[in-house]
Amino acid sequence: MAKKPFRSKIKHAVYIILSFLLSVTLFALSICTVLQATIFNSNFIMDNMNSSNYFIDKRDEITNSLEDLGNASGLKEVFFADLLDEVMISNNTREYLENFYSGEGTKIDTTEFKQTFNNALDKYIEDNKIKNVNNQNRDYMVKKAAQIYRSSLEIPLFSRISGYFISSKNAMPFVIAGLIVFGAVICLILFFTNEWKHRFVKYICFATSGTFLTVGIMPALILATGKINQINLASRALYNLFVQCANSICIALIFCSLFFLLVSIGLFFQYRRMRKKA
Amino acid sequence: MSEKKHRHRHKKSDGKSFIILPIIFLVGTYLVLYLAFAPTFSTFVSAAGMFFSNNEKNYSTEYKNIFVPVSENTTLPTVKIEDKTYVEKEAVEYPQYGNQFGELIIEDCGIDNKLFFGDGDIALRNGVGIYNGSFVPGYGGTILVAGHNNTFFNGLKYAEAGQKVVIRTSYGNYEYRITDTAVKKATDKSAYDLNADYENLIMYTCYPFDELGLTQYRYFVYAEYISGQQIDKSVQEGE
Amino acid sequence: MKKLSAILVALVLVAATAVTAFAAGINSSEQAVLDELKTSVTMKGSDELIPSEYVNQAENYFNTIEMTEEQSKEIIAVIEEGKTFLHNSGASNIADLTFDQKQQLLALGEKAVGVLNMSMSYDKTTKQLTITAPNGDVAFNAVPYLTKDGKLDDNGVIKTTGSETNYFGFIAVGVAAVVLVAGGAIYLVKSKKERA
Repeated sequence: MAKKPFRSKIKHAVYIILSFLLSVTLFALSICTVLQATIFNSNFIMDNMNSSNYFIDKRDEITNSLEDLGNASGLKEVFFADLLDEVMISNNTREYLENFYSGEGTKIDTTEFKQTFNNALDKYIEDNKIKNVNNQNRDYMVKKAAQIYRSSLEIPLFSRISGYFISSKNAMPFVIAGLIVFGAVICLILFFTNEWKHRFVKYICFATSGTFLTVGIMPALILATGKINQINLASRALYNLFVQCANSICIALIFCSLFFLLVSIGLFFQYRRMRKKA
Repeated sequence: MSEKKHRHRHKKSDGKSFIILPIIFLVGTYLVLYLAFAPTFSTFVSAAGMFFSNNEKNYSTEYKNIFVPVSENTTLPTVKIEDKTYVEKEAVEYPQYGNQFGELIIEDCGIDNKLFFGDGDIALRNGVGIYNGSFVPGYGGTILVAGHNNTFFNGLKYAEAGQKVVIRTSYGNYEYRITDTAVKKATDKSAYDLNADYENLIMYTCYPFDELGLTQYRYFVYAEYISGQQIDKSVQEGE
Repeated sequence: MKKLSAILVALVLVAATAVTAFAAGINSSEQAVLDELKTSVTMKGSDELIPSEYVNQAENYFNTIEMTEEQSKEIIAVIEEGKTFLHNSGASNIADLTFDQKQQLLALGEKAVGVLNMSMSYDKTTKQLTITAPNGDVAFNAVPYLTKDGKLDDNGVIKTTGSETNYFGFIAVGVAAVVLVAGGAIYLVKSKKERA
């Protein structure tokens, strides 16, 4: 008689542990799925760039930096007025992102920029009949301008994380598949080892409500504290892009969390219905 | 009876479980995450705060102007230390990085510019700026001023020894006399001494002037201190 | 006569308020921090100093704030911790520190500036460290390193190197989860059979 409640307690504890593991698995699955749909998806960043006016902001920022260079090297502001267009910036950025996502390096190609700059410079010299041009200093200026263009388009930390990013991106589908299998195995164990099926529903419900909290709490905290808006980025375009991407990821996680809440509520009522029948 | 009792007990504890267990799972999951991630990411996490500031970043290109001109005969509160008179430190609004806090005038060169503290982009787009690793006028150290050669410091090309440089600030007006000019490489550390314990003014801009192209050379103009009330720098006892 | 004295009092009051007093100058708490910044740290047997230009930047910032004695003590304690860390690092300059060591040093820096509610950021492209005042203004902006003579040296910039990822934590958690599920499953299947 005394042995039975003890065994039942152990069994209950084992089920709780399995529910907990299922909860962790569902949490990891949610995070991985959201990452796969967002930052591991090259279209996600490109779409956010388009919707956050990234290219127009970038053009203005680069033009400002080039004007400073012009102030130090004899070029009037008017020279830079129509020098850059969003199409060139957008093309170079797209190429940069494609290379990054395919693991082919993180270099911005400045060939087109240099050509545009040199052509505009020749026209400026001719139009303004400038005689005082030292070729060495001119080349140095073009080199500096290309450096400004390249560093403005580079995304901070991309070159540093490139290796980890590519290996994580490649591994992600397998990780997701592994988590699904692992979660399914736990569900099967819970299903087949429980004589009373309402208990199976109960343990699944524990797991999903745990996942609702674990998935939801982080983005909720981040959005509530407004920490995203306090990121230290020198570029306004990059700041807007980061805030938009981070908000999208947080909102996606909150949706995941709400999904688990709905599932939990459904399971809870199903449990009560089944238990009444049992 | 005993079965009924048993079922009742379960019912009660079950209700609580639906609240307590998810919370335990939440804590447990983050504990597991911490244990799994701590060895790899602890250094990243500890430095993560670096990417965030206490406030939203200000991308405005506007600057704060704290310059209120003082006329020649204005008397600011002074203190006497060892027979020398200094401007009282409480009367000096020490500029913060990016503030316009004065004017720099070299009449002979046609220069009359806003003077900023800090030589960042916004400062040099609007005037000339003091490097914030050097000091403000009246502080008794080196004042290193930068300006673009095509805009605000284009007139430096007319600089000659003996010419007068005036710096006006809200806490007093200062006069310097140009002693020398020199063309040096930007990387030449002998071009300035930011450790100097005497007041001196160094202005520089890119060289050559009026040429298309960027160079590694700078045109330095050196000036000695002539007049202007020094700021009291005595260390006050702690708070 | 009464009127005259009233006017005089009013004039004195106006004169007194006309001169605004600014929180300024270097107090002894700030001077203690500056003195600490000026002392050398021994790295691989040679004495290294923070370039004086950088100490000047701190002095300029301290002229705009009022530091309390507690804040000063807290900052000095972190600086000393940083010096001990550099001394024991085995590197000869900041640039030679490993990536992890640099992160730890930056964390210490963040702790020190955090005392004054300031924040730090590092721009990889320019390799510049920026310390921002609570109001968002720049207080310090330079490439961080140390020199022997306290003068700027162009070679001492922080070089960014990679770090080895430690997968042990993930593997341990993964293995533990599989073992738990397998163990639980065996136990539950066994007890079900026993019951049958």
